[in-house]
Formats: sequence, structure tokens, C-alpha cells
Amino acid sequence: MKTRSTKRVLLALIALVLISLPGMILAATPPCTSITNQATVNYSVGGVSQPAVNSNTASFTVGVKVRLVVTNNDGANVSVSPGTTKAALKFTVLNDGNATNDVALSYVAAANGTASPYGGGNDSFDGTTIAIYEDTNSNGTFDDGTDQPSTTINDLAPGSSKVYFIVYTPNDLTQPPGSIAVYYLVAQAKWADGTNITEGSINVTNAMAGGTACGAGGTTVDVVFADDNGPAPDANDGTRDGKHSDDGAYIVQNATITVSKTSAVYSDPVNGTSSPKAIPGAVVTYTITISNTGNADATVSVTDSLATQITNGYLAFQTQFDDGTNSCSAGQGIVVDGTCKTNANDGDNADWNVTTANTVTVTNLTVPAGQNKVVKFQVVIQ
Amino acid sequence: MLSKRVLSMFLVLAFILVGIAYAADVEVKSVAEVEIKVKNEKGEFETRRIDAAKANVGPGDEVIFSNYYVNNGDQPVTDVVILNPVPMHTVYVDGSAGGEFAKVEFSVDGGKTFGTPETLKVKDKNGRERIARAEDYTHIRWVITKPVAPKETGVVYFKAKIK
Repeated sequence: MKTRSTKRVLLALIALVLISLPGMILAATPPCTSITNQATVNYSVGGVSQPAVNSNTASFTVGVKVRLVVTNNDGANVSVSPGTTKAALKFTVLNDGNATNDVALSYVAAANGTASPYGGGNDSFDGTTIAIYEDTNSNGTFDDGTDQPSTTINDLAPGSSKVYFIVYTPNDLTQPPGSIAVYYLVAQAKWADGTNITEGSINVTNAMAGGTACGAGGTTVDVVFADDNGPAPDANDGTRDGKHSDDGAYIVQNATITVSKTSAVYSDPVNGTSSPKAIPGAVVTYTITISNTGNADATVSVTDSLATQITNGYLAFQTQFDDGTNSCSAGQGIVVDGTCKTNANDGDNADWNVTTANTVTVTNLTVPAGQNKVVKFQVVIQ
Repeated sequence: MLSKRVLSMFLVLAFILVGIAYAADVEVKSVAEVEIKVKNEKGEFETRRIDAAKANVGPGDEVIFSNYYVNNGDQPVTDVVILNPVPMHTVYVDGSAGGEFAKVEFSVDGGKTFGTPETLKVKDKNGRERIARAEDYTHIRWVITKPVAPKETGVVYFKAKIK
């Protein structure tokens, strides 16, 4: 939806501004770090300067802040069409806390009817084969064969991020063009040693938090989940539960072809082209309209057999096409998308009675998404 | 809230109980607190301060540092200046320093020189001078602008955000 895209752009801009201001991005203070404060006072008595006096040292310990941020990076629905081998949704997983985390990744298929974050419609199907892959070669794009399946991030340091993909391998894409499948990537934070994190006053060790500030034996500090509520269902990801998520969507790109055929008497020997009748000698124009109502371009072949009518002696093929709109030369009896074509099979993707006897054959006709193309030819009533 | 008189009496008692090694005329007690929101009996949210050591403090949180001072001597003290380095791992929160009868100044050179915010300059990475920002401050000081009478107390304070 537009609101979400605007919000993403705004967040991205804010992040960009923060990163570009020198010194603005501060590395988070490690857990178990002791913060101390001491003041000093100077004063005079009777005009005589006295020795400086120190205050006590006020101190406290910094706790563990657990905060993962998952962001979908696609910017739009990701196309999948009958020819697709693998389609990938791209996500960045960021450790915005102050301890090193292992991260457990999972995906959730959105319920039917869930709106795509990028508009265009609602979820109406689930993919056949779905898996999570890491960006093994760290190049930001999914490379089939190089990037490996993975559902765990090991030792994601504070401030670091990694790219992961939800990959769909379509098996037999039968959904109508424009069908949408929405998926969530859910990331759950664990301690660096792989164990589960619980909130509260916890003895945190170096092995759990990474780093050296907590000591091998550990320091008791407060552990707090500070994540937001991502878009995945609350059962999978809520507020302040150590998990975060974001959504992406696949959209089916396919062509939908329909063909219709009409005929109209163009002329007859008696009336010419004024109110012509379907009498022997009349020229009849056949118009074949190929419509692509899908969202992907299609290249089609069209054949129309007149064999029966010709064998029975009802019709003959008009070898030179003229319907007042398109006037072709001798030997050109077929009009494809407004262009006269020869009846011979001479490389212009149209022929009469060559590829197949008594048949109009048109090949390699591209019908773009949302458009029509027209094939015309004429017959003479015998 | 406690009345000012009760508060000063409490502070004098607190200083006596702390048991300083030598009887300095002026003593300073440093306190670190965080603000938390709690629901009162009426179900309304209230802001309360608790000791930072008793709270969950993590990166991004703001801590209120308060320095309570008292004149324990029998003479008035003058030229009172309280100095507080910005604690390590924190950033001073712009505009948060204050205190009654206190003129607040900052240092960006490790405490060698002090000035008000608009007079402090630092060099950026290209060597160009610019006005210092809160994150550049290394020290805060409060110059108490009047004598402090015997038994008189006061407080100066600032906020810092955990990096």
C-alpha cells in the first residue's frame, strides 16, 4: 500500500541522513559495562581557595538490549512466471541491540486475503516449494547455485546486518496473472551460544553476549527485548518478544489469450460495396482478434483452416486482400497487425496453403499484455 | 513532593551519615537516576525517578545525573564551581544541564577551557571549524553565582544518553 511504501522511503531517508552525519551513529555500549559518574567542587572561604572536594562515585551497569530489525528490500512485488526457475524475496536482518546474537530464521505464508505491502492485490495462493537462503557471496542478489539454504545466522554482531532470501521454486504455475502470494521472514534473537533469551535479571556471560565485558563467569544484568511488532501475525512476531519480521510478495506474470473471429461481407458482384449481400461472388472479410488480458507479453501462432468449405466448394481464398482499409498487392492475401503479408511461406511469418493445405498460418505474433492484435483474410463465396 | 526545608534537613542528615573522612566545608553527593512511568492508584500514568542501579538501563536510555551540594561549615563559601566530566559511554543531552543560581558552561577540550555552547568550536574531519554539538562536550561545569551560606544546600543536574 502507498502508506507503507512512503513509510519505508522515509525510514530509509532518515537512516541515510543519520549515517551521513559524522559521528552520529554510535556503537552501542556493550552489556555489563559499568557507567560511573563523579563530580568535583572547588570553592573559597574568606576569599581563600580551598582544596577541591570529590563527590562519591555514582555507578550502574548497562544491561542487554535485544533488538532485531528485519526489512524487505524488494521495493515492489517480485514477478514469477511460467518460465521462472527461482524467484527470491530479499530481506536484510539487522542486529540493533548491544549483544552479539545468533538468529533463527523462519518464513510464514500470509493468510488468504492479506494485502501485499506493495499494492496490486491480496494474497490468494501459497507457493509450492519455498525455502530460506543466505546471501552466501554477500553481493546483495540471489545467485542460484552459489547462495545456500540456511535458517541460522551465527554471531551477528551489534550494528551488523546480513541479507537473506525467501526463494520460491515454482512447479506448475496455474494461478491467473496478477495472483499474489505474501510471505513474512521472521527472525528470532538467541544468545551468541545458541541458547534461548529470556527477559529479566540474568547472569550474562561472554559466551552468551559476545565480547569481553561480562566476564567468562558472567555478570548479573537486566535483559530487555526492545523489538517492534513486525507485520507477521502476533503468534509469530509480537512487540518486545525477541522477534521481528517484514513482508514481501510474489506476483504471477502470465498472459491470458482469447481469440474471437467475425465475418462481414465486403462486396458482391451486384451491389459492389454498398449493402453487399452474401451471394455467390461476394467477398467476405474474416477478422480474427487475439486478445491478451494477462500481465505478461505473449507470442502466439494462429491457424484457420478453410479445408472443409473449400473441399465442399463453398468458398475460395481471396489471394489479393482489399477491404478498403488495407489494400494489398497481388499474392498478398493476409493482413497481420495492419501489414500485408504474402501467401507464400517466405519468412514473413504468414502463409496460405503452404505450411498446411487450405489453412491460413500466422506465426511469431507478439501480443503485449493488455493489447489486441488482428489477423484478416478474405474468401469468395462460390 | 517534600518541602524544600524538609529536603535540606534530610540532605544534611544524609551527609552526616555518609561519614566523610575529613570535615570539608562543602560536600557533593552524586546521584544517577532514570525516569519510569508507573500507573498510580487511579490508573493514571505518573513519572517517577528511581536509582539507575535498580533500573533496566540500556543503550539509548537517558540517565539523570544530579549533584547535591551543601555547605557544612560555619562560614559562607564563595566561588563555588562544580565540575562533572561527561561519563564514558554516554552523550550529553543538549539543553539538559541546569541548577538554581548556576551558570552552566561546557568544555570540548578535555576540561582545559570552558564556555557557553555558542562559543565552543571544533574542527570537522576536513579541518573546518564548526560550532560544537552536544556529542562533542567532554565536561560540564556549574558556576554558582552567589555565596552559599552555612547549612545551605543546592543541586545541579544534567542528562546523558547511553551510547
